[in-house]
Amino acid sequence: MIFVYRPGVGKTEPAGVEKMKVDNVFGPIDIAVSGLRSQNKQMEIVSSNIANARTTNAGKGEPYRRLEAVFKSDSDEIAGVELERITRDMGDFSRVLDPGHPEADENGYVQMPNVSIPIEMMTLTQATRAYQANAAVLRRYQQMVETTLELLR
Amino acid sequence: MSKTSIVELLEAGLKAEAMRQRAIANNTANLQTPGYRRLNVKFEQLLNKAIESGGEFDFEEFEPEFYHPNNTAVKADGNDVNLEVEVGELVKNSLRHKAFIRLLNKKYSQIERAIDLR
Amino acid sequence: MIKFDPNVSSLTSKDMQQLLKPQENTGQPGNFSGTVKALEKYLSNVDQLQQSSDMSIQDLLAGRNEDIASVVAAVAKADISFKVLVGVRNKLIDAYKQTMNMQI
Repeated sequence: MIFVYRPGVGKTEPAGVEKMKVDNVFGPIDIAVSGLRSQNKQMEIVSSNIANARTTNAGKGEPYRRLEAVFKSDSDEIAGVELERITRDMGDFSRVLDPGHPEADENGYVQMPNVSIPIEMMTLTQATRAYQANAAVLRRYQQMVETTLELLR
Repeated sequence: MSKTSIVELLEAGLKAEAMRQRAIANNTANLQTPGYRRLNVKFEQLLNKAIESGGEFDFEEFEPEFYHPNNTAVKADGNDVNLEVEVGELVKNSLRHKAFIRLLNKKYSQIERAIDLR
Repeated sequence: MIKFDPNVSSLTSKDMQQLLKPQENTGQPGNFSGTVKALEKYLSNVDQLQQSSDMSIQDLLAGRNEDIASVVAAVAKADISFKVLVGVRNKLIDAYKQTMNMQI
């Protein structure tokens, strides 16, 4: 699964992938929104991992393989964040001794997904905090501009 | 300097922002609708083009309009609306609206002050 | 960057005080042409400030602007100078009325 999508200000451009243009006046807003979207995607991935933590058959005779998100930024200057791709964790599957299981092999072992719940919970906390931080940036910047506009009263 | 006054431009900007708010409400309502593409209002580009194509431009041919930006990422069911993007657009829209209202207010009160005869 | 310019007009504050202070009867002719000249200079200044504030608003509308604080600063400057101009105009009208009401 490879996702490449980028947020941006929807100006008229021909159909295709949109570019992340950091609008000058509202730069912080667009950047914060890109952060919110990215953390949203991160949450989706974490929820998929947790839900499938014990899925022994994810098709092709293999258990569920853990997914990870890779984020990147458009430039090394002021820019937002975007999800570059979703990679699979190629670590080894764990094997559990359970001879009665329908998926057990000839030695009685079942292959379980390489998902570690503590790690997923940690990622969950990180994503939540990052989401809150981005939302705070959005809110505070709005207050800042409104304060500036108070000078016009 | 164009022969369109700044008051008329500000009023057009306000109208564009009101239209944009309706577009955003529509987008948010259709967050899950399959096949729905988000709506936006074309105003700034029109104004920019008119300014850059020489000083004078005719204000009559100058209406903000709804359009579908064709460059957003589309999900599997054909829908391309994101809640975070709409929230960001709403914040920008309300800030712009506030700015235009206050600037317009300043202009009107200047005119009033000038008319106020002793 | 916000260009910090503390002088609202090119007239010094001393000129403005002289303009707004009630003129004493010195018995000498013509303080008035000096007033008119100072007023002309101030008028062109106010006009310039108004035009630059209008340009910055136009840039904001077209989405080409750098930051909203500079627009607010330009508009505030133009507004203050305009208020001063109107105050001067009102003072002049009052002075005229006073003159016309004088018994000969």
